Amino acid sequence: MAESSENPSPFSRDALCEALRDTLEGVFATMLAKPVCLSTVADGTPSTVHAGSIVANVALRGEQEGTVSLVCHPGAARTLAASLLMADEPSTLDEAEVLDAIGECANMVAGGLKTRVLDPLGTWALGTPDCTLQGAADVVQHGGMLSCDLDGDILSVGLTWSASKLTL
Amino acid sequence: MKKMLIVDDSATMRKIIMRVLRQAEIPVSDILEAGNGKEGLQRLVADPDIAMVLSDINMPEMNGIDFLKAIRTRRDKTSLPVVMITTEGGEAMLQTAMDSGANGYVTKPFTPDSIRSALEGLVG
Repeated sequence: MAESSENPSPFSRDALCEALRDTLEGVFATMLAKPVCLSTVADGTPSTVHAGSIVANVALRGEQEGTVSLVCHPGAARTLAASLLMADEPSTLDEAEVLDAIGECANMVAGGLKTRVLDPLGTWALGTPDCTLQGAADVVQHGGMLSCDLDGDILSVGLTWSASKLTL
Repeated sequence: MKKMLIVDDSATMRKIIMRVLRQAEIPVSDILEAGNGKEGLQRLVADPDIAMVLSDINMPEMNGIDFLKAIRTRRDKTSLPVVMITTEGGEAMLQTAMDSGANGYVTKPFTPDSIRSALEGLVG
């Protein structure tokens, strides 16, 4: 993580990391009845977003601006959506259902982060989820602060923080 | 048994809430859905038998707080039970919801127990 000296971030990497981990584990345990084993991704590690992945972004706006990004490889997206919806067979879900389910997961993660870390520091607004299906494969720097393996497919959660040049 | 309205912009979350209501054995006769506060108000006006509302807060078009305020301005809905279901569990947001006339709130992610607890005394 890099923090600008002109505009230092009021958040510590440890606090953000812990809040993200707690929130994601809470979402998995409560809504999916599924344990999750999260790995921390080293700072600045390039991450490939494969074609067909679902990318859900939720903006956080306040004194600074940030985005929580949930990136699911195609199989992980279907596994996660099927668990949330308690669908017996992931392949029966249509694309809109998968997009909506991943968006809702990102929303819960961003909301948890806001509650745990940001709200005590000031007034913040949570955006609505913006979900897209990745076209061509792309490489991103903030590709995942945390990632996990879902039945052989990868799910990752990343953060970008613009005003403070805080990059996770 | 009551007719309930669920307002949330996520179809996934509306399905989950319906499932959890069943798991929590909440006595509901019928469940109607709306995708935002504006649609929710239209549903309430069209169906006077709706006896309880569960609403998200963070929604496009009309958010849950504005929806709640609009409900409370209607003379016939001042005592309609409204419970907010939100990802935002901060004190300020929850206080805003209660000050705007909410009867309770549940934070996402939630369990059947947390839903049952929030609706206790509001459904019969």
